[in-house]
Amino acid sequence: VSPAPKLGLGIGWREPLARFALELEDLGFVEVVAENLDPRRALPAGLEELRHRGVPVVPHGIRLSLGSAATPDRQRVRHLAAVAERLGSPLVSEHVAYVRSEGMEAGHLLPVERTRVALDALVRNVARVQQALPVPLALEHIASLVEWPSAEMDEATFIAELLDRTGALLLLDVANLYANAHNHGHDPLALIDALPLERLAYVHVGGGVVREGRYHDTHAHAVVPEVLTLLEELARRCSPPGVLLERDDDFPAASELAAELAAIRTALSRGAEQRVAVG
Amino acid sequence: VSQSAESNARLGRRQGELVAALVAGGDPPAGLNADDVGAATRSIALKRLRELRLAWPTLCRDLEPGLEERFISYATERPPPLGGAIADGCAFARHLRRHRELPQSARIELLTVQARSRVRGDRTIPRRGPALRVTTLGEPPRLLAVLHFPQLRERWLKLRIPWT
Repeated sequence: VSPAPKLGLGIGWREPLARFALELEDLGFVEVVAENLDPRRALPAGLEELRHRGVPVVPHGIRLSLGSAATPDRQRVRHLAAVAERLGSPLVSEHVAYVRSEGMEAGHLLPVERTRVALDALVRNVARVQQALPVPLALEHIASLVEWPSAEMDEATFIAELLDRTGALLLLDVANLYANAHNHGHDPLALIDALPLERLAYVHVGGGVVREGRYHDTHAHAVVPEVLTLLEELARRCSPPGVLLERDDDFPAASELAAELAAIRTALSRGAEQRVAVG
Repeated sequence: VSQSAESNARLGRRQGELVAALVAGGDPPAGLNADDVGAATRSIALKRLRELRLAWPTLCRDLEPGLEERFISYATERPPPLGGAIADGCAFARHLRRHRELPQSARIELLTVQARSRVRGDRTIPRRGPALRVTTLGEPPRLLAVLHFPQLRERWLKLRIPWT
């Protein structure tokens, strides 16, 4: 039995999607960028309404920099905890990544070296954050255009050991899997098979685009079919407690987003049918 | 210093090198594919630009054509400031002003943004107190001042500078 709560189908809550989210039937949960909220102030109206309806809201941190050699900033950790408290969230999520070094911001999630030393730093930082959080933490592996040389282990081993040593949950992003497969030749199915799916909290599905031969995980384009195929493959192997569509920019018509959510449902039920047939 | 503290410090240095390569014009850390780092550098700058277009419509419109290349050459040398796109635009506008490339209308946008908002943490938030911002504008130069009171109308003052 998964230690994660059942969440259902959700969408990344952004101000331009407030109306769309309110009109969605069967909205299971939403995710908000934790850094965009001030827990001491009133919530944006659309988000408050969802809270009022009992829709779970998961704060998604993007600036903790858990993968830094340095300790996470205390104020940022406190902020994430306060947001979770304010929203009554069932869990929070962050990334296996770093975003700054000695005060210099990258403005982007950067990959952590897959070495023992980097893993130890991550475990230390995650444990520190978990101590301050009122709820469980889920960790998301990232998509990256760059790769560090001389990895001491593959990504699945790295993530599995991180989750094992910290007790954190897994946030699996099928678009990130696809991005790294496309750009670096990783085998996404081998990664899915090697990850501890019993620790799965929820799944991200986002859009992207190929530019000059590289797949960019933009969240500003449509979800590509290959990503939905990966979602189906995942659903063949387990029943994800939650699946969330991420759209951050170039917001399309509501009908287009609704169609993407429908395509996600289809991929999930197709995978589930095969799981039942096999199992 | 223990061995693990030393390896952790080395990890931190390599992390710093990659950040500097991506947003501050540094050389990539040894062993990284230079094409990949170049693609990531450009991709990060373009993401900043997407956000800039929303927060700074006048500045972005008046720098066309050529905004993209102008911004990329700026952003790949300078890390994004805390405060998001509003702060990034302020820094970009000041950079352009130093190079005498800031369009006239964007000077007013810069003045207004600075009077209305301030950076707190990662975000730029509306000012709660009054603020006064002054700039010079045009040929012959005039003094333009904006006095911002939260919840009230903004007061603008334009003065011919008598000694020019």
